[in-house]
Amino acid sequence: MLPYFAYGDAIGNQAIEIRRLLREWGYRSEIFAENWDRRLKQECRPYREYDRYSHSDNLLFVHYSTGAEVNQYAKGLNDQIVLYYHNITPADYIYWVNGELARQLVEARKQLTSWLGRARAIAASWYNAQELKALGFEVAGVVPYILPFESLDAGLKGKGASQILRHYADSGMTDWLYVGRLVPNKCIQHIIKSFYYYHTWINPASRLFLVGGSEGMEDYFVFLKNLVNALALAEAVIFAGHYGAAEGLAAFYQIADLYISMSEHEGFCIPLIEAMYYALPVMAFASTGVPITLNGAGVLLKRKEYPLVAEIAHEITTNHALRSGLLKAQDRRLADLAPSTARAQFHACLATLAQH
Amino acid sequence: MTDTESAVEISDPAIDIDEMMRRISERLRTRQAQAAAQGLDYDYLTNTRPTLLASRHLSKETLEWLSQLFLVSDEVLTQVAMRDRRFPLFNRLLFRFEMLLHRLVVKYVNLYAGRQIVFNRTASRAVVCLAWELERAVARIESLENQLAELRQQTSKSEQA
Repeated sequence: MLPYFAYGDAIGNQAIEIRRLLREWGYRSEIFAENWDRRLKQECRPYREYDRYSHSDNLLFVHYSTGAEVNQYAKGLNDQIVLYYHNITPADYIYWVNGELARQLVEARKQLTSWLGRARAIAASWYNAQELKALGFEVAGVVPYILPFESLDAGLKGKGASQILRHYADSGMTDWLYVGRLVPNKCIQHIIKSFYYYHTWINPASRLFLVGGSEGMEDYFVFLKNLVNALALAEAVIFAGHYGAAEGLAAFYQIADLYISMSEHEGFCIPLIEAMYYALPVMAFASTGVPITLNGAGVLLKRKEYPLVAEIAHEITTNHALRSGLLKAQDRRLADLAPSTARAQFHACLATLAQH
Repeated sequence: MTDTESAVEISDPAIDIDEMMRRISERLRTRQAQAAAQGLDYDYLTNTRPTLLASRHLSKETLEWLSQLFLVSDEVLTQVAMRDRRFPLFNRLLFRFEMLLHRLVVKYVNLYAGRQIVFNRTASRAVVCLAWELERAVARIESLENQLAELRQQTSKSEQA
């Protein structure tokens, strides 16, 4: 059960994968949502329909990441509720672009501790688990995101990927890549500013791909576009829009020379791992869940000094020994996060939850 | 340009981070010099954020009001407040329609509320920065007063001698 069933985002994909696994293991499983992307209409039911299925024997996973009516609805049920915590973006970042979403985030934060004693808790990452424990929750387990490598690889065979590769590959350019929603907490403006130094002072034969949607964050998108124009980077910064696995997202990972994140709030950050899977060196600002996700792999930035970030990017793309060392460390980290490992962890967690 | 040490973390022991950062520092200095020679601003986008610091010279009351500024700055957002009512036959439809209208209004109200919050926080930060400047000024005055008192004492002793 979740507030918004989004197409191609971490929570939406995880909900689909969990349903698939539960059905594979002989359980009946459905997704109920308060709102949904029209492309997922056939994949879920309105949450009010759950009235028909509610039972004290059911395990009801409530995906918790924002305030919503569905949370209050779930709290009133007699089912065995499992709060699946995906972290809550601090409202501070969102106020100025989407006041209603900011209100929901504030509400979600306030209501989180009201679940103590009412639901068992699991977390989508070790960072999220730490947050829950600090609030007094007993965390039944960490159920990591089951990373969609197979879907990404399958998407490479599609028309979308072919178009991307035809248009952008083998250009002789050094390409930076960011994948994710264009939202203020991801601090994409800091990526653009760092790229400004790289493009202007180090390597004009360079591009920055920003792959992600901005639905609900239109003012932030305009802010980013204005910044790009003000810095005369309109030819070098490509706002690609949203690409899911099926649309050929993996093609961007294949084209790029470097993955960068300057996000200031992440519960996990799946694109870091996707980048590692496609042998892309990763450079990320060390905030919230990012250091735990990387766990020694990649380059962790401690400060946001744009010229310095640009120079480090230059090192990564030109220093073969550094690049090779980074990729080896990333491969080791990737082994810990294999989909089969995550599935096994979910299975073990389910066994624990079913016992009580 | 700040010190480049401890700016990055790379866990691979085979990578000589110190050597890499020395190279980077050198390049940064070179590019800054090149920019200066061309009359360009290399540090164009580097900026600092104002930080909030504790005060020793401002009154307790002033400090309390300053912290209150931040606490109340985001209490502007509007809630959706709807109650489910029981009208036979039309209940569901009517409730949905009302909820939709209500949400639409709240969506735009909260957008402007969000902008107000940004202004509130910016104004709060500016006030805190001013308070900090005031504290520095008061500390400087105190130091000067102490120096003056010492000089007066010394002068008085000299006169007596």
